[in-house]
Amino acid sequence: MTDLDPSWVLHTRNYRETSLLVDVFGLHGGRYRLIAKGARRGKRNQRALLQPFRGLLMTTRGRGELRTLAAVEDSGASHELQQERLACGLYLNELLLALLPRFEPAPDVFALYGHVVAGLAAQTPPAPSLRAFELTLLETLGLAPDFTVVTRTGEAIHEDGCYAFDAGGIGVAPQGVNCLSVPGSALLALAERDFDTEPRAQRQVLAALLQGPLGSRELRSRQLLAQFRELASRTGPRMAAPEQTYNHEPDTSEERDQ
Amino acid sequence: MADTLITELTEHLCCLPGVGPKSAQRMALHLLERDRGGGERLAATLASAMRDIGNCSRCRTFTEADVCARCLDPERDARVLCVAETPADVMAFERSTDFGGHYFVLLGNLSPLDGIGPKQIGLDLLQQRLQNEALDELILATSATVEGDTTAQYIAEMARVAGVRISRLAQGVPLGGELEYLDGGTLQHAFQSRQSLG
Repeated sequence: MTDLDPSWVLHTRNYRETSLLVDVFGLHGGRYRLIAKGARRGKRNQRALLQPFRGLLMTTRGRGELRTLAAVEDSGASHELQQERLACGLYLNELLLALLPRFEPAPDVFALYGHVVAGLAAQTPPAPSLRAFELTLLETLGLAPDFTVVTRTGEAIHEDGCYAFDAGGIGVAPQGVNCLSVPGSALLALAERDFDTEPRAQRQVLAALLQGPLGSRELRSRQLLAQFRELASRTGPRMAAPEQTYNHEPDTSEERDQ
Repeated sequence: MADTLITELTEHLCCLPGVGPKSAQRMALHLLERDRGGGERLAATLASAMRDIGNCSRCRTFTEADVCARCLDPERDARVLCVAETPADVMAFERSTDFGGHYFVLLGNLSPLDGIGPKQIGLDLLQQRLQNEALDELILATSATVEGDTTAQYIAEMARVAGVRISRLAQGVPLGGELEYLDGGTLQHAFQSRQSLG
């Protein structure tokens, strides 16, 4: 890759005395890991650039599993996330690190990632954009079922119906303990990418689908989000001011951890 | 019998940061050839340090006592607590600033992607201190990274719950920094946290 690839840093980790290991999500490069040699030494000031939620342009060297950073520039988009929204941003990064295969470009996910991060910084209600991101990621991974039909029979979903849902797909009636019972309207809304209808059911459906490839792995950023919320619920009115939109929005991912 | 001790010594010296096999061999040979006394003293001190040094029960920094000397110092202001990331940071603050309060050392940062949560960085102990001590101010001295931000914001929430005044180290233009060469993020911070003059 010789051209500057629009990229986001997902995570960084110190490596040796002065270097950084960086997990990157690039428009053309997909998700990969690179080493930024000497990035922690003051002179090159790359440490300031190589931060999550900053839009970057990157060039890398090498073809193997671990690439080397050749050049990095600021692309102008820098987002500062606060409190719970920071945990939401880390959630996006953790999802990508856990689920996106390496070196496979995912342009749809990439495009949405920038919008979602900008939305998290702009204090718009985060839940709809988080759901959109989860759904797009599932579609890219080929894990999103057709939400308009019952998976096995192909029978059309009715708005007023109630359907069983598990990682295997959509069934006619709720069965078993691990099966969600989902209103048809929630599924049809998902097919339409309308994330304001039955938000809680939609969140549960998408979480169940994501848990499939995650297996028994728990997402730590979800735990952190829950801990942030627990603290915020104990704080007085001081917290309420900047978080008003969020707190008044019942469709946020608030129950994601419950 | 092969010279396994020399090999072992060389291998074990490689656990030091920045020391590869070649430097390790040089160190081992230096001690054996020129400074056996120094080597023995190093071995004895290293053994007792590894055995006896633990964490201060109040601030979590490294100490062989239950409570470190800095926490016991009556000259220090017990109403101001500075939350630092590492003992090295504390040493830097002591060297270069006139801060005279107490410290709390996290020994890390909140980083869910590395599996590090509030418990691992001792926030349960900090919570107890916030509740039990009459603190006037909590100074957050965490790095200007996403992990440092996460940690600072989390602790700020804890301090708000406890009703303690919170401040964070300023972020912006470094001394001797020319604005033209500053990255956009730093510049943005500098603008947001500008100070009024006069």
